[in-house]
Amino acid sequence: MGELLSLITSGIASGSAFALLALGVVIIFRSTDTVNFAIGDTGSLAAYCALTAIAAGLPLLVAFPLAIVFAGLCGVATERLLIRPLGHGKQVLFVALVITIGFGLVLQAAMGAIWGHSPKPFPPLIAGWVSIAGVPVSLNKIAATLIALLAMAIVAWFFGYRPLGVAMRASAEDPFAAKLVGLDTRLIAALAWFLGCGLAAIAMLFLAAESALQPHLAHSPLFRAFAGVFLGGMTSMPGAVVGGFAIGVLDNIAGRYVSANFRDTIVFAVIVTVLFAKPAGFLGVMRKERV
Amino acid sequence: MIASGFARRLVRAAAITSAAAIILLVTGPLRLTGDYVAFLVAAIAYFSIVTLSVSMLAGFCGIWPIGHTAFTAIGAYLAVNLGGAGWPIEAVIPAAMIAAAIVGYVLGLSAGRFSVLYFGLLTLAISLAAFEIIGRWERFTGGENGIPVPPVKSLLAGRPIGIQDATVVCVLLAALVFLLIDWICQGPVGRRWLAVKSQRIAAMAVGFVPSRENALAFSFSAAMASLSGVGLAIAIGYLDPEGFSLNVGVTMLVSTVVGGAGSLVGALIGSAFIIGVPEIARGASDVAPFVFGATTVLTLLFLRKGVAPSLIDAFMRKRGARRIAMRPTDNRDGLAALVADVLPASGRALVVEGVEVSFGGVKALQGVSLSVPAGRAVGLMGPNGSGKTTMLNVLSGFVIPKSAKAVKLGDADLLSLSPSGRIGAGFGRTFQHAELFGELTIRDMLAIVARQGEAARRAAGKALTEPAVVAERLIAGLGLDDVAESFPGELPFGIQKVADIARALAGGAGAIALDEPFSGLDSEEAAKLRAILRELRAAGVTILIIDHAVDEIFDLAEDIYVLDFGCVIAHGTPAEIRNDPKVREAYFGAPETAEDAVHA
Repeated sequence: MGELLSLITSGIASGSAFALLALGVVIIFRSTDTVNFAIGDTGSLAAYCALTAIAAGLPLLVAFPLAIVFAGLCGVATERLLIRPLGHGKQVLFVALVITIGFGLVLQAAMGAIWGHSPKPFPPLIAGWVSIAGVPVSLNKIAATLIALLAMAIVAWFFGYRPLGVAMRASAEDPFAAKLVGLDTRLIAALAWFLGCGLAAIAMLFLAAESALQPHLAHSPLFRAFAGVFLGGMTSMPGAVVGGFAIGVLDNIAGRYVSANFRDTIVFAVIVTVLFAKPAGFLGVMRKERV
Repeated sequence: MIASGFARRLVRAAAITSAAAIILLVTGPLRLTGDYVAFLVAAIAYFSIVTLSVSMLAGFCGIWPIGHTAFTAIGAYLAVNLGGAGWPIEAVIPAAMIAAAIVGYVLGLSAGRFSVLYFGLLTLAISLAAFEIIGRWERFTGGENGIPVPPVKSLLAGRPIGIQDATVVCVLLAALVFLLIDWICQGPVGRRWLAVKSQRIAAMAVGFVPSRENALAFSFSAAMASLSGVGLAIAIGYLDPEGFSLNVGVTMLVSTVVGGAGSLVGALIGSAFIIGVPEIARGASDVAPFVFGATTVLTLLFLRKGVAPSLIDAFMRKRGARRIAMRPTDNRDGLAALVADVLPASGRALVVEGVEVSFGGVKALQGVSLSVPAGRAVGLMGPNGSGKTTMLNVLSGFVIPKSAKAVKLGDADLLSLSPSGRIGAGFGRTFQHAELFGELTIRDMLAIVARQGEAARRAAGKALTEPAVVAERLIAGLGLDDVAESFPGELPFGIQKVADIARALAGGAGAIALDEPFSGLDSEEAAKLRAILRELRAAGVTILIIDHAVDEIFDLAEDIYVLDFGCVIAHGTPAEIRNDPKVREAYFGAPETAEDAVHA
């Protein structure tokens, strides 16, 4: 029982990173219909910049927020330069998706060329360990989970109560109507990309401190985040968060009780099964095709 | 037209065969190239197989698979294991194709039920899972250390084949795959895929089953991709799990995008790019992924269709668009004969009784009944949100009613039929925005839909069954001669709407529900459409018109139903409806009386 509890605890901790990435993916998807495969690499790039800034003597508490803002600005630039020129339409969905895959390759190659491929140690927010139910858990994990939860709460508050957040939700429901009532859809798109990539940067800073920073670090967590997104439904923000946490826990439990060698396979087998039973995900609304 | 389409496919097949023959001559007997170039040719050949498999899905189905590596792995590891067990290559090839096709069909069917976006996740999942399995299943794959490819027997060559035969084997496999894919995609099946790709809903309304078409395409693509694996195994001589990692899957996408989705030449260009760049940038490990990524982005931004199709477009730039106007159709006998020759089941009555539909708490239809007698035109009108569109969607099968006493066309119970099955019963519909298949010419669209109605026409003993001939008759009968070779996007809206009606007739619809046929038309176009609808009615087609254009409905329909808040509030002749106070209230918000007019 104690073991299961600790598996769940650490599953929730790693799930918080997946949930942040998943939330970022959904925010961006809702605003511009783009599945952003480069979101994790944008976060990794920000983490590398933070590492360089810290090496140059900047305190951690300054470098991290700067890195998050930097990732957000990268997101804004990506939307402005790569996505918006594509225009709108049904086929654009996949064109945009493939463009972000291409952009992700460019980012990874650039990071590899600038900082090298060997893993670089990354400073944790707080060093040290505590024991929960007799299982050691790093303070960094706890801090990161709390920060992730805080970020999610802020996002929830923003979308739930701030006029601009509500406007963004309205715009996601019906971009045309949003335009009609005078909402600036460009601003909304830029803000969504800023938020999405900023959240991804938080996730990557945490993940880098947990293991080490390297150009391909975003791969595996991003796929788990995608699994979470599909579990929760492509358009639901709460769904993405719940999905991300669920994947974290599932991943840990499967790795321990079924087989550590077939983690991806098990995680995705579960997802595919869920999709079979409930195509729209748990909380998402299936996007109805217009008749 | 069938003959010329067939001839075109033969010419393309001959071109593929000769290209392969030339490549084999140059690298083989003529000895014009060294071993290094011959190896590059082999690599480009096997990579072009999987590129074309991906490209075909992207170009003809709108599905972008991210992890086709799973299927190349099936081919490669079967070649190693079956080849090692003494199977000849001639048996390994069909075995790989069958295994991959089965896996592909099952997966395709599961993703095809949803949207094409799910294919993205699913292929990603398959590829990750396959990579993990390859890394662990040591008996079959050698695990992470990889496995050498044993010499594989060949019945044709009469000796074991190995790396020295790589170029011949890979080029032959590529030729086979290019021939098969081109033959399928340039024929009726490919047209069907394009129809489903551009308009899933409209495709269902004319009898296609999108999920099945997606699964079929995915399965076929998987089978072809497995041959890339067989080629790879022979050419490389050693299988390393890294060859099936997600990174490789991504390069397949890059190759497709750069060359151009759906293009044969594009698959070759893309593969040469993927194989060539790392060769040129030897020693600098980050260069190739950087170039791949940057080229993908730039291609999509500036040459959306990819290199090959963009070049072809540039060379064969079409002449400026002609001004196209609608042709009058003044051949009443012509349309009557057309209907008699083409429609297997005209003259059936449409009967709807007690249909209830609710969305959540909203009752969209509350016990609605209406009937359209055989060969008559009936109007269905009502303000926005009154339930007109819901009624149409119940008829088309896109909305399942909560309860219904009857929804029948003649003797056929429409409710028991799937959306795509209803065209077989003789029910067709048009769309408010026409929703034509954007990537097919009007003629191709009609021919491919006419193929759906072929069996019914034959069973009904109709004079015309051959799809191309049916299409030709519809084109002539509805005055579409000038636009037969045009794509819908090039046509004025009025012509698109006529083509939409032609499409329903091509499918064999003897009863048609028209969704706002007059919206968006100018008065000239509306007049011509009115003439066509009159003639169709006179020819015995059962018509239900759903429209806002009150005057048009009054003009065409003998009998009119008015819906409001999901209930029939009035039913009668145009004259009765015109003077019905309840209808006035529903449309104008208040009963319009002489007194109101004075105050206004």
